[in-house]
Amino acid sequence: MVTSAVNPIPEKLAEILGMRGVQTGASMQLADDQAAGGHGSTCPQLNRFLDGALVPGSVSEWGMPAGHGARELALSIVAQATLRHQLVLWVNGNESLDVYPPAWSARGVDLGRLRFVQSGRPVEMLKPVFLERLFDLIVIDCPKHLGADDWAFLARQARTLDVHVMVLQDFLLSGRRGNIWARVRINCVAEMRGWQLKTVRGPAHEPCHIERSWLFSAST
Amino acid sequence: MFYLAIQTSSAFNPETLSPRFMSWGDGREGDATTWIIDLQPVLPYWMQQAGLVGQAGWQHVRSGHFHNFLRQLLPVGEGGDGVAFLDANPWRALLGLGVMRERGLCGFVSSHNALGQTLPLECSWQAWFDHAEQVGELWFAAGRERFNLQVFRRQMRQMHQAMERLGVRRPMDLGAMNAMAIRRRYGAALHDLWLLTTAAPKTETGLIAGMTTGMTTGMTTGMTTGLTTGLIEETESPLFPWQSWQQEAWIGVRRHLDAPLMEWESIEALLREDVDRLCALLSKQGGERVLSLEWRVVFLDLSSLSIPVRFRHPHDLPAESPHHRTALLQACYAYRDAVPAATSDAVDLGVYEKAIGSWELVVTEKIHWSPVIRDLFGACVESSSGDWRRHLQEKLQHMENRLPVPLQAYEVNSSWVPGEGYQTGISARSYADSESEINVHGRSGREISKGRPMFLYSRPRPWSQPPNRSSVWEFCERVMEKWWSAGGKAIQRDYYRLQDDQQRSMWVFKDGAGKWYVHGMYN
Repeated sequence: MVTSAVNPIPEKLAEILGMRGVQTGASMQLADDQAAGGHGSTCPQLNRFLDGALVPGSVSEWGMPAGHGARELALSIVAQATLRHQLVLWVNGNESLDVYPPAWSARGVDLGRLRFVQSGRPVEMLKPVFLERLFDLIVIDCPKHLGADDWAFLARQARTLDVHVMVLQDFLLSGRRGNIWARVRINCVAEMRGWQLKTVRGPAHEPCHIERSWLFSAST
Repeated sequence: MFYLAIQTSSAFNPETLSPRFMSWGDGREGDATTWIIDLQPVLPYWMQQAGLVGQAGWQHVRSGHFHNFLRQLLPVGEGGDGVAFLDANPWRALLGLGVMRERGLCGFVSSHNALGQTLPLECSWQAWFDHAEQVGELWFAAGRERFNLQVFRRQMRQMHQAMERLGVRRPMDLGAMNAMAIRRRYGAALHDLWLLTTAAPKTETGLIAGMTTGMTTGMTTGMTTGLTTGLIEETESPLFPWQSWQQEAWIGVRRHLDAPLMEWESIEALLREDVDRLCALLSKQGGERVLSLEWRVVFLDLSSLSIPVRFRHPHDLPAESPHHRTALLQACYAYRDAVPAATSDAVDLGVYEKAIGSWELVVTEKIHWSPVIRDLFGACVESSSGDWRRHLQEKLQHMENRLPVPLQAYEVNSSWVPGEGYQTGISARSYADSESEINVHGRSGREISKGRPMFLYSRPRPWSQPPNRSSVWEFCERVMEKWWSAGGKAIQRDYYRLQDDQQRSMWVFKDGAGKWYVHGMYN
C-alpha cells in the first residue's frame, strides 16, 4: 500500500523517473507491493489508483464497455504479471471476437505465460481452474451471466487459492446494484486520449485520468 | 494429418508414439516390420513436447521444428538400417518409405521439406502396384462397396501394361494425368489411389496450426467420429483402408448394478472404484498412459450407449489413485453430453427406462510412455527435474485433461498479414523471443502489431455504413496480402481506426475494390 506520507511532488517525480528506469522511494514502495504478491500494472498511474496493486485472494470487477479500448488497462496488468513469471489465464467470453496474440505480445505480454480459453460460462465450464492453484491471475472477460452463487464461489476460491480474479464486464458498473463479493469495482470511461477511472467500490479516490501513451511506455 | 511409415530391424514399439498404428505387409520384404503410425491422437502432446525441447535449446533449427523433434524420437539414423517417412496421408508415407529403401537411404524424411515432397512420386511402378495390391486386399477384407478384387487386379494389370507401352517409368512422369481420366480407364479404386498419390502436402505452418486447432477444439467430437476411422481429411470418402492394430489383451472392467442409477452423483462413487480396478490392470503392464476410455452403458430397457471418455494429453491413470479426479471429470462431461439430465420429473413418474443397469469400462487408446528423449547425437536425454518449463507444462497438461475446453497458447510468427500473424503455440513465442523479426518499411513486427487491436473478428465483417464525416478517423497502415498465396492478385487493404458516435473504436479497412469491412475492435 502506498502510504499517505508519500509527498505528491516526489511521487510525480518518481513516476517520471520510474519510466526512465530510475527507482526512487515511491516507485520502490510500489515495487514492494508487487513483490509481496500483488498484481501491479506497467502503468504507474494505474498502480497508484489501485493503491499499489491488485491484492491476491480477491476479486475485482471492471466496467469496460466494448470498443472503448479499456482492456488495454487490464492488459497492462497481465503484461506485468507475465513479466514477473506469473501464469495468467484469459477467459474470452465474446464468441464473435478472437484474440489477436501479436497485439498482446507487442504490448509486452509474455505469451509463454498466458493461456486463453473461450467460454461464456466460466464458472460452470472451468471449475477445475478455480479448484486447484495453477494460475496466479485469472481474467474473465465478458462473462455471459454471473449469478450471486457464482460470485460467491469465485470470491471464496480466490481467497482459498490466493489468486486474483479480474472480471471485465462489457458495461459500466452501477452503484445501485452492489456486488459484495468484489473487493474493488472500477469503471473505465473512454476519453479522447485515454480513460478515466472511477471507483464504484473500494478505496475512495478521485477519478484518475490515464493517457493511452502512458500505458506500456515502461515495458517497452 | 501426420502419418509416419517406419521400418527398422531394431526393437521398436509403435505404441510409444501413438495408440493408432497398423502393420503393413507380412514381413515379405525381410524381417523388419513396416508400421504406419497415425500421430493425430497425440499430436498436441508431441507438439508441446517439441516446443519445450525447442525452447530448451536442444536444437536450433526453427523451420521444421516439429519434424526435427520427431527425428529424435525415432530409432532411425545413427548408422542403423531404420527408415521413416512422414506425410499427410498413409499411402504417400508408404511410397516415400519404399523409395528410401530402393535407394538405400537411411534415416527420417518428412514430406514437409522439398526432398520429401517429391520422393513418393519417384517410386517405381512395381513398388506402386505392389502396395496397391495390398490395399486392394484390405479393401476386399473391409468390404468396400462395389469393389471386386478380381476386377481390381485386372485393372491394375491394364494400367501397368499401359504405363509400359507409354514408356512412363514412374508415377511422377504421369503427374499431369487427371484423376478422372484414371477413373474412366481403370475404375474408381485406382482413381482413389491416384488421388492419394498426387495429394499435395500442406505447408508446414498451415498444417501444424490447422491440426492443432482442429485437435484441440474438436477433441470430443471429431476424434470420436471421422478422424478415428482413418479418413483423409480433404476427401469425404475412406480412401485408405486403415486397420488399427488390435490390442492383444482386453483391458476393461464390468459392473452390474444392484439398483438402477440415473444421477451422476450416485454413479460417480461406483465409477471411481472401477477406474481404480482399471488402474490395477494397467499397472501390471507398467508405463502406460491412457488417451481414451470407452464407457459402455446398458440401460434398464436393454438399450446401450457407448460414451467416449477422452483425455487431451496422455494421462497417468494410476497416479491419481484413489480420487481419479481427472478421469471422473471427463466422464462427467461425456455423460452429461451423451445422456440427457435425469430430471426429478422422470423419477416422480416412475420413468426408469433410461436408468443405468450395468456398464463396462474399457481402455481403448493408450501409449507406452517413455520419459526418454534422444538428443541430436542419439544419446538419451533425461528431463531435468529442475526444469521449470517442463514442470509448468506438465501442470498445464494435467489441467487441460480436466477441462472440457482446451487452454490455447499462441506464438507470433513472421507474417505481417493480420490473420496470419500467429499460430497455435508450440512454444508460445513472443516478440521478445523472436530471432528474426519481420521488417516492413523499417517497422518491426512489434511496432506494427502495437497499433492493431487486441481482438479481431475471425472473418472481416462487411461494413455497410459509409464513412461518416462526424466520426474520428485515423489512418493506421496499408497491408499487402501475399500475392503468391492470393492467386496472383495483389490485394491491398487500407486500415483505419474509426471512432463512432458512441465512442467505440473499430479497426476497419477498405479493400482494393473500395468495399469496407470491420476487422477488429479496440475493446
